[in-house]
Amino acid sequence: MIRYIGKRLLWMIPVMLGIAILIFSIMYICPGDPASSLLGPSASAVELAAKREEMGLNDPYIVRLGRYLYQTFIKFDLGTSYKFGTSVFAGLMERMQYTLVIALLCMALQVFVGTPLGIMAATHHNGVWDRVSMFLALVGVSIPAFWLALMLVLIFAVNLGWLPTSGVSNGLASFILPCIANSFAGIASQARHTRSSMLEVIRSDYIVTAKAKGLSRRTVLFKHALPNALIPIITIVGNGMGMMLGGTVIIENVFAIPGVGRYMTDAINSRDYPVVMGGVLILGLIFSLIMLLVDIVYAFVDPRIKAQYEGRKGKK
Amino acid sequence: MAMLSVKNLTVEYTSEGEVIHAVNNVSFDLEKGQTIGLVGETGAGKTSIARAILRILPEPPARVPNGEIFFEGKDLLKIREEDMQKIRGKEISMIFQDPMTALNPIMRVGEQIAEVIHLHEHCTKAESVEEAKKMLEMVGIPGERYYEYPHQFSGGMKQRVVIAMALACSPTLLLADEPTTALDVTIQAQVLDMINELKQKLNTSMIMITHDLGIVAEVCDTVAVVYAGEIMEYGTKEQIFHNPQYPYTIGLFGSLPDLKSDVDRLSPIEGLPPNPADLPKGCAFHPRCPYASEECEKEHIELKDIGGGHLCRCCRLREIAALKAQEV
Repeated sequence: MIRYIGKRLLWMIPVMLGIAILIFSIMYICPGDPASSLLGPSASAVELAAKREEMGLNDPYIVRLGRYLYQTFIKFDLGTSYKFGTSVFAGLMERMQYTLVIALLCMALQVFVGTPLGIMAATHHNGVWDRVSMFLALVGVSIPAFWLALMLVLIFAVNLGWLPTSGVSNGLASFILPCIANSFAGIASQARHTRSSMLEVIRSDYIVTAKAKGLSRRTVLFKHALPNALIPIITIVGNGMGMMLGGTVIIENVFAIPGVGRYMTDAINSRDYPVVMGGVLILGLIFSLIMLLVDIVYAFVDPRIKAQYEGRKGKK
Repeated sequence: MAMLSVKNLTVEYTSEGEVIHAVNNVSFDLEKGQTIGLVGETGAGKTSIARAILRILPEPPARVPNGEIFFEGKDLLKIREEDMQKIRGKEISMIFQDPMTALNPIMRVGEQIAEVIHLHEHCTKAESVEEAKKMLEMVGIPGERYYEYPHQFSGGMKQRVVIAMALACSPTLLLADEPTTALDVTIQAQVLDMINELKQKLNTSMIMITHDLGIVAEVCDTVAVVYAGEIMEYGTKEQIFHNPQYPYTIGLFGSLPDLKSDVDRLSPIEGLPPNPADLPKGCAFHPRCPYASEECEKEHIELKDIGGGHLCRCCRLREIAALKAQEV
């Protein structure tokens, strides 16, 4: 198992290199001039040229790529933001705290609300509860997050005044509305996936075996069916977590939360190359780590997969 | 009164608006320590009978519109689910057909046996683990393999685990649903010997579901030939094997390859089993029956005693006997 993790970690090096080269090339091809967006429309041509020379924007592609890779992978420095003049890494970490809170709360909502809904739907297959929860799930995936966010703000912040409209200055209360708005679709898809996975498992032979042992319905459901049904769900949760750490652009904009998503979109608009590239790289790293974590979790829940990782000689 | 008495058991499935008559008015008795064989083709309703007894039919789509299953005086179809749970695995247990899928893939093999012991025997976890290891050894698997997972076991070993699980609480009635169908012939004999041995040791009654007449000969006392969800012929093993009367039963024996004579082709029963959603009128076997005449399709035929408790659902027994006499 440790060997497997080590191997996977080593594999991340080429992946990160690939991401770095790709994002650098994309930013290189992208139209737009960081010098002009930095100096503003009033800057003269001479000033712009001088600025470009200073930023090294006039060097050929391969030189710039080399410089970027050297800086990133040898010196472990993501550079400084053109716009703010501060370290990209520090900037990302500062914003990550908000994104992390939102992502964790959303995932918690998704898992702890979506899963029971899915189980309920599956155990009452074709019954009223199945219909109700699947209708809710359909509504959930269909409602755009920004609309829901605006409606929630209108009701709970503007009309009722229970919660703040935007910003992060009110502690946990500031995150309630953003998380609800953001997790709605996740809850819905979690419910649907849990339901279909659960339905498949409930029909399998070993569930009949468990029933034939005289176990109660509850034990059959939670001890035998659910762990098996949750295996495919792990990937979905991991994926969702990775996506959300990339920043929830819409929600961050609606609620004026200074998270990673806004940092990145602002950087893209102002051609703040170091921030864009640094951000993509860090998110790529986080995503790879989460996927590794998902695979490790798989090994712990499913002995068949663990056996694959350990290979044939791993047998004690 | 017999230990198990099934009366007019009917099982229906609903599929896409069609009602599928899987089991139709099946009745039979089983005494303590005895084994009855349910013999018939795939889809004849054998498994549905067993699952109805244990009340583990998938509901919906399955339904038991009528029938009574008396087990030690109680009607299993009427008692509460909680009481049924106390019977399942403890007094009646089942060996499933497909060992490959009958075990929970993410649970240790031993734990799956210990679970049923812990549930019914009111012992501590540690005792149930010890007991489960003993059960594993009884079916010929070393006790230290308790901690392994199903994917580390071969098909034959998984079937032994399923058997160990079924026998763990010394049931009074064992439902064996084609326990050897998924196994190699070499292992079949081992498994059958083991079941026989355990049955004698524990004085368990058994319902053996199979389409293999060899297995019937080896383990059964009485035989019920099931066709299209009905018992067509019923009798002791000797009555059925030495004197098969129902044309389908005759066909079954006829389709066994005879090693002594030199034949080029096997002699199967022509045709296919009827669609259980649309059973033929009268005798369900008449479209395939070589002895069928018009009277076979007129009305439903009752089981008749043709001597010594040998029951047969055929209206042309006399004619068939005459035809056979001519052939000889």
